[in-house]
Amino acid sequence: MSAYPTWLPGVNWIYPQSYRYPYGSHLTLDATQSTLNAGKHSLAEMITALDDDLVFRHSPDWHCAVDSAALGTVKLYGSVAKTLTADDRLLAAMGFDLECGETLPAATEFVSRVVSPLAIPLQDCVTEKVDREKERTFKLDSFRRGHGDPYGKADIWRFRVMLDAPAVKAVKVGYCEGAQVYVSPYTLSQHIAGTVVAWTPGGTGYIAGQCLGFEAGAWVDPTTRQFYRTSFLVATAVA
Amino acid sequence: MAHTPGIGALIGSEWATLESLTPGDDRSLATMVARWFFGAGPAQLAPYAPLNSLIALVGDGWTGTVTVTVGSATRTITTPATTSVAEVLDRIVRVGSRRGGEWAWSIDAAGIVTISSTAPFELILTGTTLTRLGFLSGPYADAYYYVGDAGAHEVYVPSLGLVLNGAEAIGRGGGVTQAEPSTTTGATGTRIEEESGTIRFWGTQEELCALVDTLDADTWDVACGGEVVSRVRTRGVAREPWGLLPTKSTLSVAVVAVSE
Repeated sequence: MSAYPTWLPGVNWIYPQSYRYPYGSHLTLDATQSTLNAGKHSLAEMITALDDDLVFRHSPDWHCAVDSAALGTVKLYGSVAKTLTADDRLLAAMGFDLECGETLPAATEFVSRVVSPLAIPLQDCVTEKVDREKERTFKLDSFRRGHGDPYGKADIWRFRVMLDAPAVKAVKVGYCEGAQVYVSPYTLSQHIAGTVVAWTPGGTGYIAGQCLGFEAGAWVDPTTRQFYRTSFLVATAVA
Repeated sequence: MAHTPGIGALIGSEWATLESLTPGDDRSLATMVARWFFGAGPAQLAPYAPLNSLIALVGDGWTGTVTVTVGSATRTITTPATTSVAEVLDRIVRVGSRRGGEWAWSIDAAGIVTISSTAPFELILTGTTLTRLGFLSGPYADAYYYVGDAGAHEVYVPSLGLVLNGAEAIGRGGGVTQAEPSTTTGATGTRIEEESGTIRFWGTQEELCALVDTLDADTWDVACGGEVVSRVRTRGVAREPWGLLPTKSTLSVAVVAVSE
């Protein structure tokens, strides 16, 4: 197996919105450092902001853009070859799998190598609304709490999903856990272009909510470990 | 490696093709000569790297560095004091891949490490990292693959493989009850629970019995198909027979996923 196995295009996506610039907000092309502005929490926002910054700082221009919308890969590119240094964890979050302080040799294009933990492709995604009256575990949670409802009036959604192995590694990074997420049928390019709509009852679109966690899952075939079935819960405001 | 024009082509030999050298049925010698003469041998390939499964002990005492060079691109990584052979190899091939070529590692049943790439590369290892990976002779330069000289440190490759079920460290427990509300603020939070799983080893009776002794309550990196898939701590071991024969069994090891 290659150190960087390829993965399959997503049919749906998880886009965690939990990235915060103190986690890492810098990259350096040659000797010029770019900084991600505060308040960019999603990969789509980060790409747009970095593109603006690179265009501003480099002449001739360098850019940050989606490399493959189907795979969710990101590229940094320009007409003049430059070295790329990961000053912190920003590039790792974008899928470049670079260690802090690592410098790549000069090139005119750098493409991310792994599934970004901020854009996770799903091979299958079936949504169901959790009936909290019927699922006993919710009743137990309410009972343990002593009064009230642990989730207030929120709707709880269960997404039954299948991921391939590189996507599982991206989930393990942990940006989904307990964070605001978008579960979306749209690609990264569509989110950047703004041609997306939020889900409404009876329609289609992305669902924005708070991920409560992943439930127990299993490999479809544990001997080959290619596809992993699991489910996760998302709480949203009542639609 | 790209094919290059051979001596035959350079001196303008009339033996222009392989067929002109292979009258009759026996082509072995002629093929060998032709490859040398016309320089049309197969591209150099890394040795067959089995998609093996193994466990590697996560332990202390690691020192030194690994310097990986592909072409003019070099990266030196410092081995953490606590790690495993599998984790170090994972890091080497990822660092190498980022500098060119498709890289992979494997470990055979004797614990011998192979690191290979589709681009020629150089490896310089120091400290206990050198001895624990089994690369003792060196130098390791300008080749497409290197095979260790001695067995790697605390690595166990069951002869008939292993399968890890669970312990993926994705979910944290068994369902919705994992999301536990705060009793003081009413906010929801994820309850931290250990995620358990099982490693099942297949091998000879002799090696499985020896493995029972070895596993102890240690931390292991489980690697499947040439990459680390989970870090686990052993909780218990059970031998399970295959049918009636006492000489055939599998080893079932209860584990929990851990991060360190």
